[in-house]
Amino acid sequence: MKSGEVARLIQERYPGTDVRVPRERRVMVYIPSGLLIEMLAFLKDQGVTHISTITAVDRIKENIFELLYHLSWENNEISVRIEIPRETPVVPTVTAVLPGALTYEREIQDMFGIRVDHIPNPEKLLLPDNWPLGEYPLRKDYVVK
Amino acid sequence: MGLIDWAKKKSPWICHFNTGGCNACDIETIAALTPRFDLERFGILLKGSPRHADVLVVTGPVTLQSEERLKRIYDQMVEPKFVLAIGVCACSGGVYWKCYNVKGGVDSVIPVDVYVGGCPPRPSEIIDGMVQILGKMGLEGHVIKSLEGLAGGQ
Repeated sequence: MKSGEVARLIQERYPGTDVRVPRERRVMVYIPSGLLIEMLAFLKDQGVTHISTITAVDRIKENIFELLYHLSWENNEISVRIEIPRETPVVPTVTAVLPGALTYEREIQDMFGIRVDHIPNPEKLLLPDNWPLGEYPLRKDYVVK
Repeated sequence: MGLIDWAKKKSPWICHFNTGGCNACDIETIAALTPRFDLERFGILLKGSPRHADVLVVTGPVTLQSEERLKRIYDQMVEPKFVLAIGVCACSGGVYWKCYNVKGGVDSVIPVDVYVGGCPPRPSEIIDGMVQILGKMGLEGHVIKSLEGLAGGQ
């Protein structure tokens, strides 16, 4: 399946969604956070079954976190982007759809303090055992001691 | 020369601990020990337990996770004990200096006797560091002489 075809399928299923194909084999989808699990499940049905990673961006000036779910299929890549408010950083877990997302969800939970709702394993992943509560090193307002 | 000095001179055993490095310094340390450079022929053996070692060889920046472990390993060693910091990360933190999970160099946790810079240092530089450790032990004689030859002209 070509990248343009996936973009067309998303447009058909969710009319009005901001889908961009900046170049060959690359798709960007901008969706509201409520649609996230539905979108990933829809993509999974189309054969986009592999999650490469989840990245987060702390856009502190606009007071939002941006989350990008990077999925891939047949050398193509698709990034599903959502934005969540910085004051209440909560996203639902996508492990029900993509079990491989667990490690990445734990990572952004550690590094950004974005709470992942109903995550199967909420334990710390990367930070040291004695790490102080409520400090998130990859947030822009974190000060290194 | 007493028996203890003699034994020390013949067998300055080392214990190696990576506090969070990238493995490059570890590879160079092993290269210094294995036949190409062959520190082992001078009795400098790599030991698995800090209780058997005279010299603690530390590579890598000290992360918050390894800080307690490094302290504990150092405390387990018997006196007299020496610490050799290998690589710029172990000396000062290197490129990881002021990283959120890095405490700093080895000397921010335990006293260090000899620093070997480099990223990673060559085996000859590690041997030179070992020579200085032996000098600090107050040892003279053929071991240091032959080691110096090794460090200088490899």
